[in-house]
Amino acid sequence: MRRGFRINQDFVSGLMFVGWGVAGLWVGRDYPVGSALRMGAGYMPRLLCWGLVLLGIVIAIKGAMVAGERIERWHWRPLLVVSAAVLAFAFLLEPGGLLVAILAIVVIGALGGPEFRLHEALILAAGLAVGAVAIFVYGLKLPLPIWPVWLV
Amino acid sequence: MEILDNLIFGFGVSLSPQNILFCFIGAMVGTLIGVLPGIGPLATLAMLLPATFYLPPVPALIMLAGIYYGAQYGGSTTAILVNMPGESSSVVTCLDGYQMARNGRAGAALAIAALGSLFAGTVATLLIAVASPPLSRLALKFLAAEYFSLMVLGLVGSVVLARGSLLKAVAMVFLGLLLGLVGTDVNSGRERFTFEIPMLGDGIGFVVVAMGLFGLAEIFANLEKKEQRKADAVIGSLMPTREEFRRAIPAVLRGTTLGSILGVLPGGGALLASFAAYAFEKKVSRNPEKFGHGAVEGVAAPEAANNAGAQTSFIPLLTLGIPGNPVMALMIGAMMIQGISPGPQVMTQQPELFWGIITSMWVGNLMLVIINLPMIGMWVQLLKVPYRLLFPSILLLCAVGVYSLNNSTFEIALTALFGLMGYVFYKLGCEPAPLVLGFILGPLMEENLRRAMLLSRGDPLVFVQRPISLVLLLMAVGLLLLVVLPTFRKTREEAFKE
Amino acid sequence: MRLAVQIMLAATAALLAMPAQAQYPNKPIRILVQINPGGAPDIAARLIAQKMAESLGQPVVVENKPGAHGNIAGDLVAKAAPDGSTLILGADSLIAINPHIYAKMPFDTLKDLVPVASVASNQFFLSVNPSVPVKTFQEFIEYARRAKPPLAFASGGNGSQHQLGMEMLKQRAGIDLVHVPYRGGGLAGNATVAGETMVVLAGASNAGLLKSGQLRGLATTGKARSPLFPDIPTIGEFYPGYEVTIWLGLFAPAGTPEPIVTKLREEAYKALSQQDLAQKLNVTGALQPLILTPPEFAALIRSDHEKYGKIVKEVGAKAD
Repeated sequence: MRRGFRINQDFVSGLMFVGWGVAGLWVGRDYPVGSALRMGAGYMPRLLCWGLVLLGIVIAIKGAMVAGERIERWHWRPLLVVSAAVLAFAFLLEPGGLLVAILAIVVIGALGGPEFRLHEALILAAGLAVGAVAIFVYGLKLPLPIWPVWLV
Repeated sequence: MEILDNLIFGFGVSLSPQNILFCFIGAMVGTLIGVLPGIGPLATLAMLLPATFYLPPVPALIMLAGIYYGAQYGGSTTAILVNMPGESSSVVTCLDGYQMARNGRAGAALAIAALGSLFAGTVATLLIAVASPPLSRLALKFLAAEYFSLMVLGLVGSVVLARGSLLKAVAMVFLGLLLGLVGTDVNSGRERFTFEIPMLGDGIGFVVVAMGLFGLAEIFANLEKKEQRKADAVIGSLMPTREEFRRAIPAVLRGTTLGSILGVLPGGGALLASFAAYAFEKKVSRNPEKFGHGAVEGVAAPEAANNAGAQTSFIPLLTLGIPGNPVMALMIGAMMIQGISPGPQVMTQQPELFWGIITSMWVGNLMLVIINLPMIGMWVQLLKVPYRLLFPSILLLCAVGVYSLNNSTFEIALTALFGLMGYVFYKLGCEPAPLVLGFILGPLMEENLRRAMLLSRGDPLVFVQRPISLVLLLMAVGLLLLVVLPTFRKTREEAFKE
Repeated sequence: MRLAVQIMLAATAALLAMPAQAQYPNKPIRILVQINPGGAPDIAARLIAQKMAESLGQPVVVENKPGAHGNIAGDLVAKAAPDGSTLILGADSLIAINPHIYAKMPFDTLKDLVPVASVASNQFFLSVNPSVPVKTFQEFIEYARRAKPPLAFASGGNGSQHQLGMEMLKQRAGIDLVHVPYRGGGLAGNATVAGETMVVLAGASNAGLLKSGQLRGLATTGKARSPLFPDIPTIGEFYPGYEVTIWLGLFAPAGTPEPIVTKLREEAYKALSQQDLAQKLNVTGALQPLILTPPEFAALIRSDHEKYGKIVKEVGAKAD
């Protein structure tokens, strides 16, 4: 029952685990290993990384041999746009204040969703901004700047 | 019937109008911060600490305790509704709670979570009243060797959490363990996998990982299915069916037992409780294939366990003055502000404090159910909000929540990275739950392993010479055999082919 | 009407005529804290912030920026605008120990921060699990000297003051102890109560355990005995010159104008000399207000920096 090589979920996950293991071994190449009785900082990382490499190889081989589940198509748009929205919030929060950051995360985030409507996103951002300032800043007294730094 | 007298005395304290008021405030605030993902009881307690300077000790501590268990309670709400674990203890609730919500059983899931928590809280309260001293001795018996063995058992058990391939689950546990090592190694002080980023010096935050892998990844996955969730917005009846109750009750009983025991152990006991309860439930279930697809037991057991654990984690604090987790350490701070030094003498020297707090926990749990049951209808309405409006709001809550942990924008960015990772895992059919458990247990396991070896001067026999440690290791071996035994594996694979 | 306009004009003129610094503070002040909420520096910062906000008429906000033993918070303040609006309530470990244990420091703790005011001080307790058959400090030293294998001592981490303080004692007394690090002094105390380790050197987090008798206090590390435990001698009574005093101080970015630093120092000391604040500091963490003149504070920083540098080099503690 040879079906030839097929890219499937298990094969790729196997490779991914091997990748993690190899990366971990490389980054941690200088960590002192010590011995089983007096373990150094590198003992566990090395053990785990080799474990990952080994498991990954087995998973990949098993995956390549059977017709496993295919990987569904990737949808890059929501992935990248929504990540960008979160990152924008992270970078804008401290210099730009909560209001600017909320505007960014909500509007950019909504771009990644279905049926983007600008006016709707703006209204949502405004509503959330009021709620967030009330709950987080006044209610819970989180140290969040509301306004941009250069305004205060 | 000394216990009864004590409880009556305690209720006399906790039912005074002033104490009821502060209990209510605590429960309310706790529910609120529990619902908000990321914003945990720790930060809130710290912020309220100065306010307690001006309160008498009993109401102050009743309020702080209320916030703590209220948060455990509220945490399940977002986990069920939007797959966003509001508190670290509700990660497991996501697994089946969210699936229940997608099947139109959000109301039932919330109600089961609430009632299960109330039951667990009641049992745990009684347990604290009756069995505090022996249980606190158990906490003192748990030293490095025992912790290591407990972690081993937990890891073996974590494989059970997954529904797909066994090997992939093991690999995910390994990956979780590895990610857990990021940060400064406690034993040598060396930084590992930090890439010279100071913000990684203390490791990656648990909430960052959980929020990314569960919350954000779920948003990515949902968005690619477009407005598919419109179809999910069918909201069934709010109350659980008779059948759901029938399945939930034994699960609650088991969850309460596990949670009560694990909660007593300092250092992550309560957190482990919900995972352990879930894994156990899946193990004993006659149809484990239902887990992960909206099994009511998968909500009932962990919710009962985390509430029971939250409660019993007060035992080492009240009886020994030993804080089991950072929140308890803050409670000690609060007690010391009031001029009380926590320890075994509290019970005898300040009975009104000791019994007042204990009974207030029950009062608080009752209040939580009274506050929350009517709110279920409201929460469920949230699912009717079109997803295109709902998900940006979730993003915001998630970002603010992560920031509030350490006031670090870096962690928000890191959460996005874990969201991407979660999406990759989703596409590759790798389940994040075993990874999360490995992530929690990894550093604790390594720390305790190396500490135990240091203390035994390199003698590995220490793990089998100590009775509790031996029993735990034997249990781990037994579970391992059960998992790898061919017959078992066969049924397991069959179960997943359905 | 004319009168009102005149008053307004006069007021505006007066405001304009004032030197810019005299208006300080004209915006909210942030005090960064190097740990998560709840620990001694955090509580001290919140107490002092409350008082300073009242007397300065501007909000004083405490922000927790934990991580890397305080380097994250310290670095933020070191690189902040030197206008008195960003301060740090830092522990001595950040200022005097981190430079020695971190191979790469993001900033220079002595050059990039200016000391504003000393805030509070505290000392460590040397205590043992009650099963250790010693009642006094001298008995302990004798017992530890003979113990085979050496007793295990718990510390709050590698390169922590707990460890360094104990290493200094080991050197002075010529004893050997096995170092077992924990995540913080509180956990180290717990481990000693449970009997995992036999000895612990830790601060306020252990005070409750000492009070309740779960740990047996043998000595304190300060210059004078602790008011909480007047019966416990100081180590310095046996080994003159031995002293580990932990302190907290308020620091500003280097380059902050002198008048602002002076103003802040006056306000901080005013707050610290209030009785209720002193009392709260004491119960929360056995902390005592520490009010030093600028030269005294500078001398303390210098001498601690040297003292810890020496011991770190000798013990070889490192945190990369």
